[in-house]
Amino acid sequence: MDVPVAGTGSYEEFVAARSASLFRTAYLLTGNRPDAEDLLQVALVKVYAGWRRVSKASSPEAYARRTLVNAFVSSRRPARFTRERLVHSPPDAVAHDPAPDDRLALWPLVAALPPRQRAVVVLRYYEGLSEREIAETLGIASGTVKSTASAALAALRLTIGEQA
Amino acid sequence: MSDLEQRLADELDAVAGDLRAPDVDHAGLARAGRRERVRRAVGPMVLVTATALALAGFVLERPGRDASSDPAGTVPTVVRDGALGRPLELPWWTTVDDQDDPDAGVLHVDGEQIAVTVTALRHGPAGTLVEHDLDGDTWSYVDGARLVPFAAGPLDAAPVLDTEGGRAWVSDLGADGWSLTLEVGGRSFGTALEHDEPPVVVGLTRSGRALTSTTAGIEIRDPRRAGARAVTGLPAGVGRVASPVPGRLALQVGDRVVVGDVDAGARFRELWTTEGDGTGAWSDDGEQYADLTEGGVRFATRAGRTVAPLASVTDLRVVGWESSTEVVVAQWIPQDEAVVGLWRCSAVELQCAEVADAPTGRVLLPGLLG
Repeated sequence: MDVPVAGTGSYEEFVAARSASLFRTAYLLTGNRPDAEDLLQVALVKVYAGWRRVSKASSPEAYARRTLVNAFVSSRRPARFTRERLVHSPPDAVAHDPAPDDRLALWPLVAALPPRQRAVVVLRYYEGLSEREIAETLGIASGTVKSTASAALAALRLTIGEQA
Repeated sequence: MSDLEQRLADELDAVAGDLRAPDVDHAGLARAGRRERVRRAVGPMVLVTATALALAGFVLERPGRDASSDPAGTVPTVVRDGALGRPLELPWWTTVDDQDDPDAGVLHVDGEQIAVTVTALRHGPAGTLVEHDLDGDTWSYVDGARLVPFAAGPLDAAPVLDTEGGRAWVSDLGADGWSLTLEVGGRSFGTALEHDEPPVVVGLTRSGRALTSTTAGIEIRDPRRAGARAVTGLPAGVGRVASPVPGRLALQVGDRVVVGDVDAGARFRELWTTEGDGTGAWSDDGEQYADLTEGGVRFATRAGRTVAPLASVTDLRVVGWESSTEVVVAQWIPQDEAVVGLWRCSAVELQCAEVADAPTGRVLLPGLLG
């Protein structure tokens, strides 16, 4: 359904253009497809609810990403079984998901980090955001971003060292 | 970038790059988005899908009255009475037939009709609050035949308005977070808020300070002074939060509602409890709670519980108190955003009657959840 607004196009156009990239971020945050679909659905619903304001923002995708990440960090998502499934994978999609691979030694460790550390790692090393941009996304101070990132890297180094 | 950081970037890229994007139901997201706007109007709570009430009978709890003496089958469940069945007196909104704008509608309030697109509606002793415009960001209160906005910017949740003219709301400052604005005595005071989620103003205290709620807890804030005070003594596992009257909290904890006052030291002191999931409605004096139970509408006070039977009706929602003794309930289909029936139930007569000339179809009433 199109919501006619001036600016960067309709909500439907935004979802068509951005949902794939938002899903990838959601997957890296949650570590599995079902939770990533839930997280994406929650974020897209919130984006629709504020669409007139979002569409006029300098970067609607940044707004959507912020909504996605904060929903993940706060873990305030309705239980899956109480909601319609508005974001769902085709039957053959799972076959294309990353298979267990010895070369992906860090991925399982990232998935085991606490939510905020995981969010900072994904935003920094996958999305390529700066410290300031991560701070704006998470609504925290730049210093907190730096310390959270350091803690995450330290945890990864420690675990890798233990496994060596 | 260190070796570890480079490996991180490479691996995350490899994981994400192999993913196939899911299918997206655009129309469904829009429907859910509209319900989200309504949800924001009623504070932090979990969306609950409609459930059919099993009509296995009801339990009448009132001092001195035995439940077994009044089985459901012998009590008339619906009465067509001129007074109880009179037309609706609460505010309501419905769409009009406009092919160019399917969301165009009319708000009916206190004898006035206001052309506006409404996404949420709240009504209480201080008046009627309306969330309007297509993006659902503007909150206003009704003043005669006009709508007076609370704030210039977007509001993520409903403001509060008390009978003394005090007002409070939380504004979204985008990357800068949120701010709380408190208006008392004709003066406005603001303060920035540092939370990971937008706080919701639940109500005001008797001294005119704001009670705000997040998943982390409840606080008292006064923008005229720095800092906030956490309300202590709250029960564990609080879900829905309401403030029936200034300084009072009604907290949903599991399948019970715990009622208490917040004292000058920000301590919560429990007064009484009743059964319920927190989706009911409080009378204007904060002493009566009406919600749905098996077979009817339950009225709870400190003295006890009574039930006005309403048999064979599913998908019910409590709309709100229309007077000090009467509550309106709606049969509402959330998937269609449609009201299909309205009843008025009396806490004194313990009877319900169909509301005459009830608006049906795509109708918005106070208290309906999206």
